[in-house]
Amino acid sequence: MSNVTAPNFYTNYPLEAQHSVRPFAWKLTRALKASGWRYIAGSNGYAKDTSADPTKDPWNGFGATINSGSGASMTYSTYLFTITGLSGMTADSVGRKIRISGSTLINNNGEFPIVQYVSATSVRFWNRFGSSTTDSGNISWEELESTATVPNQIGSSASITTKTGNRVMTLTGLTGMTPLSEQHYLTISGASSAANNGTFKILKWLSATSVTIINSSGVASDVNNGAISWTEFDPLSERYAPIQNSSSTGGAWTLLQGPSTLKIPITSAASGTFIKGENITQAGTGAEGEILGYQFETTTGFLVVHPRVDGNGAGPLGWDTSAIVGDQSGASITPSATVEEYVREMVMWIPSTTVYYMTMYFQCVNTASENTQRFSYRATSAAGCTAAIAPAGSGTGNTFPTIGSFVPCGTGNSSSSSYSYFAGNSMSSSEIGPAQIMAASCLYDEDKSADGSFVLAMPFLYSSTTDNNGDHTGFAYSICDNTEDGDVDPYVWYQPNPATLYSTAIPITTAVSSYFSTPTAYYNAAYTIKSTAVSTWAGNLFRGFRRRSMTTESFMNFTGASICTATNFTGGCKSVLYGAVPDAPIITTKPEATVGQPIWVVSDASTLKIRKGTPRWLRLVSSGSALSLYNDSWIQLSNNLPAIIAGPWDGFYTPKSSK
Amino acid sequence: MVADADYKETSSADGSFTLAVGYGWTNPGAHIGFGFYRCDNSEDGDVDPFVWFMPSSNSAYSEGNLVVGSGAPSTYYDHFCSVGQANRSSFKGLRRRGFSSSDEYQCFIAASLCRVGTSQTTLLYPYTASNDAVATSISPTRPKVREPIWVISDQEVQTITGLSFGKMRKGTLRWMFIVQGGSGCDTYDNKQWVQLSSVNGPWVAGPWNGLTDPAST
Repeated sequence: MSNVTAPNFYTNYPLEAQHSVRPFAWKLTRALKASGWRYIAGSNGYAKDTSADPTKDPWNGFGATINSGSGASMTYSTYLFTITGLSGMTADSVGRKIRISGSTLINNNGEFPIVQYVSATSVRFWNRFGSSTTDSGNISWEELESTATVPNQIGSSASITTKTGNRVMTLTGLTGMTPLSEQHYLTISGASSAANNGTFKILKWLSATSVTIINSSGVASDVNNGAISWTEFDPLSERYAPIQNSSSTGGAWTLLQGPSTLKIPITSAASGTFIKGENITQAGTGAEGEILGYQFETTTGFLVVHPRVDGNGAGPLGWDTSAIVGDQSGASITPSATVEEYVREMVMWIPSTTVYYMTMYFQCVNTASENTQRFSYRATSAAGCTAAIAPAGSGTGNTFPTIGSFVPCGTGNSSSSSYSYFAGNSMSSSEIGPAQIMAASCLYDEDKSADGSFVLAMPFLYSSTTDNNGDHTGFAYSICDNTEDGDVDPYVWYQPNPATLYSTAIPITTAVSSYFSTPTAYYNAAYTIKSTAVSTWAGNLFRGFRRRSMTTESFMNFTGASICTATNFTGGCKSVLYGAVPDAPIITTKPEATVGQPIWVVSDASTLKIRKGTPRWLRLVSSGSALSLYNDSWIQLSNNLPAIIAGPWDGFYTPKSSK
Repeated sequence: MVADADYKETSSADGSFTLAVGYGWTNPGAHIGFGFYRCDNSEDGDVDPFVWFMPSSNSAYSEGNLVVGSGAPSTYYDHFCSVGQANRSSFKGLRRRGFSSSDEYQCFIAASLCRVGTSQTTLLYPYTASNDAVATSISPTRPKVREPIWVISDQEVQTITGLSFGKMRKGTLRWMFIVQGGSGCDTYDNKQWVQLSSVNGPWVAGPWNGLTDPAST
């Protein structure tokens, strides 16, 4: 249940009507946290947090009311309000939200982040859209938790019993756990071992009273077993409040860490033949993984592996240089040097309170040799990374990385870009309908690799309440199947833009400014998740890396391919899915039997060819209509055929096309 | 070439075969012939996952099972390549064999990857300065991309009275694939496969015996 769906998400938060894409971006980050993407750092424009504690995430929304009163008074100074007449405030109130009602000015009412603790009776909060007020003694208020506690999911008699795989802790003595708990977190306190206290992602539901969590530093068993306190919270249940809390020039950003892959160097050929997709085990450390590829030539080569179980070795994720054996094939190999981890990090940055656009940075980098290129390194070490400036967004020590990084949307090393509309040009809340957000599990465990794919799709609502022919805008990030054996980054972004195909195929070592400052980096509303015209598909549809970690590696734009007829034409080949008659298997009694054609992500550019693979969560169909369901696991995102269907849907909700 | 037609423990019968006769006096490296192939990636309900490859000069879906109409492409005596296959009824088989309805003979055509669209170029068709090879290979001579040949029907209208029609994915040929570049009689994987054409979109067939050098003259 750690595949996450946020269906039919819409917010009509009145104070951000002109910046309406932000709640959708915010909701995507909630879904990603629920699916297992790790919160690393973030800001709300007022303060920067690098704690990696998901409860301190400045983009957190709010949950239940934990304190309330009335008769308070407010004063105003450049969007910063000081409220007095409260009770029960503490230093922990900072980061929570306060709900204001009763003000004589409508824009002064709402939910706002508490940014400063003054005393038990007074705090300061930020309201970008507020204005000077004479409210005195007429304000009602509620202090709101910064995360959303699952109702009734709190207790004080838990035990931390075992630690396995150098990362997985088993808890017992809980209550009310369900399979949905795998989308949640546990905050633990009262454990004897300090490393056992904190907030941790739930990895696996075991029973109503027991789950596993991820805590590499944890100690089992704990001396205080039977008396450990816990609270379960759910990122998806948080409600939205404005995430920017600064002057008009201040930004807000968040940094999340996604799935990792391993590159295991070898200098001799394997004994036997590994089977792509099989589980491999390093008995010396207990580490396990899924083999994605094997490359060997004469005296050198490497394996590409998705980690599954952390070992106890000295290398990344506990791997070392002891022998590795394929569980099914029996093939074996011994690493010749330290295993390399390639980690994926993503920055989402709204650089100003007055702009529509949002910047996104993405990278796949080696955690050892390229560690200083990581966004997380800049977040913690670069003076230029501030509450307003995102990692790699410019400033001292904060330039855009020179390796393994690119810009899905926006401009690297800069907070300005007139082309970086996050999801269409100048769209307002009246033009965007309920979003469909999907995030495949980013958790790895025994017999399960992390996926980390996600989709954000938003329908256009040009008439404010009706669907515009099923068109959706947005973007996606997907793991690819059928990849080449040597590809250490089997992922692509679906981020269409109208630039000439391959026009931004830039060597990765080229100066950043030359390839991230061009108009080709923007995302245009005219190029939505549909395929109504050949011109749409003739553009740059996908983005990613070619030969990451190898010589002549590059950032690439890719296009989509599918099986076509007329195999000998140099022109005139037609995708099989084009046509008036739906494409379905010969057993057609089930509607879900519609053929879902894989999309091949390829480059056929001369000298830069590659088959990146088939995105696991994006396919094509030749029939149906927008928001049709397939096997309850996929939803269609256009009426124009062939149309893209995306997953993973949750098999429960009915997607809606209007508010 | 004839794939093992016996079944036994851990091994299903295959039965595929290829007859390829050198025809190099017209096009060096060319072959004529036909074959019968086991399909992979077939639909779950297909009880006959096999097709015939019988090059034809007739347009797609124009041949009935009782009509004498098959024959070599009129202009190409170079059967094992993508040239000449465009919308030709080169593959023949059965649609819905064993079903209570529409259990009939059907023509199929070849399909392969190209950019999504209505007027695109097959990825492996044109010779270029950079024939399609595995991008992330570390070999000094990167191996060629081996493109599966899809056997499909995209027939939307009935072309022969009395015969059923419709879309279908028969599957991919187990013993034939497309490469880019190379020459007729080139071998692959230590002589497990033999290339049967030198022109655009050449096809490579197996199983070869791993020993013999195929002769082009």
